[in-house]
Amino acid sequence: MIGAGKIKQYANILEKPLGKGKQEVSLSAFAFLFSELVQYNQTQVDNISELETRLEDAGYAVGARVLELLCHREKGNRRETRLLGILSFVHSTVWKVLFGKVADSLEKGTEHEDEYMISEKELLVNKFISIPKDMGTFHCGAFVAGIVRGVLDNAGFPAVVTAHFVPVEGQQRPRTTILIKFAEEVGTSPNSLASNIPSLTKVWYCKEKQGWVDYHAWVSLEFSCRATAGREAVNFSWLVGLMEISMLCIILYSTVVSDMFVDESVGKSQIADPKPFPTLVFATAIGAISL
Amino acid sequence: MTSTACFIIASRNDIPIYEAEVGSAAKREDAAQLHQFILHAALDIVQDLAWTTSAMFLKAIDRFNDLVVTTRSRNRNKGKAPTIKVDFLTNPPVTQSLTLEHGIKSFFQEVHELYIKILLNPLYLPGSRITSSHFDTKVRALARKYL
Repeated sequence: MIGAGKIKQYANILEKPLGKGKQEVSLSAFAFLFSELVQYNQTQVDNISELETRLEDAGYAVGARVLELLCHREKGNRRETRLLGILSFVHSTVWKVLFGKVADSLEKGTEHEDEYMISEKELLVNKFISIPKDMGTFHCGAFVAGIVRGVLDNAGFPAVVTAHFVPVEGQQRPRTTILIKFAEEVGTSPNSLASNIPSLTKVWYCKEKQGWVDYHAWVSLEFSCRATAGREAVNFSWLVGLMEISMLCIILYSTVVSDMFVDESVGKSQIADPKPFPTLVFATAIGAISL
Repeated sequence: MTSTACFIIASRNDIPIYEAEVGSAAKREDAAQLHQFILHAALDIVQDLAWTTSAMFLKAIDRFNDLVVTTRSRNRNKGKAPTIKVDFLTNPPVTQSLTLEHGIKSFFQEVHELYIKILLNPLYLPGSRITSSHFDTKVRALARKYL
């Protein structure tokens, strides 16, 4: 190690403290190293997709280590068990440590339940790279995609991560988007995708489908089946489907019943508000049955 | 202190990447296989428990006769294959377990740091056996210190 007398020499890497370490590394040094990495891999492969795969694998190794290190340094050894938690961890903490700033945005895909996107105006790794025309779809952000995949995979959320250019109007250079698509098993494990999405997005989802389902009843149902699904590892989406159908029946029933109540017992009605009552009964019944 | 302890770091797919017998008692004949057997059996429990909490140290999670398993989970929990850091097996009487637990916790923390340093080595393939003699020496020194 080249160093003045100030830098303490350690006999063995294991004795060196893990502490904060040096915060910054020279950008030009990194750019040079990265360009060499890309060029070296270019000589080893025949086509673009293999090149992207290699960069991704290199990034994967980085991601695995970054995850452990950051959990130890920043978060005091607390792991992330929730999907949204790990995504925001990647979006802010990892980005901040690696690139010096948080990522520009984190979005949830609208077409599929398990797709998320992290966008960045200009990836640091791409700053000094220009892509020749004959390598049309190649994106050096594959390295960063590999880092994200490494972090997610080693945290227990396997995913397929890719990097894309997204043209934006009004700007010359296209924006870069890292697309994260989670694997099937993330959706079906007890602490799954479905139970991790906060109820706000779930409400959005159900409102799209049904339009007039009572929000509070839905949330209470969802919470109860979330709790029971965790214990039993029931396939959540099946249960949700069952819930939806049952909810529809109950709503219909309660509208009918409330009409009957109003007609029969004018001024003497024991039940103050018939509509939520069957819903609550149903919710507790479902909770009891699922146990 | 007449306790023996078996310490295993298990990686993905339950493959042990490091194991050590620590402790001051004489080694028993059947101890080796028995310890590993018990630890392996505890892996499933760890996997389930690890998803319920975001803390890392899971206290005593399993007992077998008079042997107790305590664990600390590392970050790499997959849905299918548990990745627990340590299965720690010791046989103290139950009354001592509180002070011992604190010792175990600090022990785990220190070894976790050592493990991260090993992991940061770019030439180390995550999930392969840890063969460094330095690591071994340090783990044993820590075990003597905390247990």
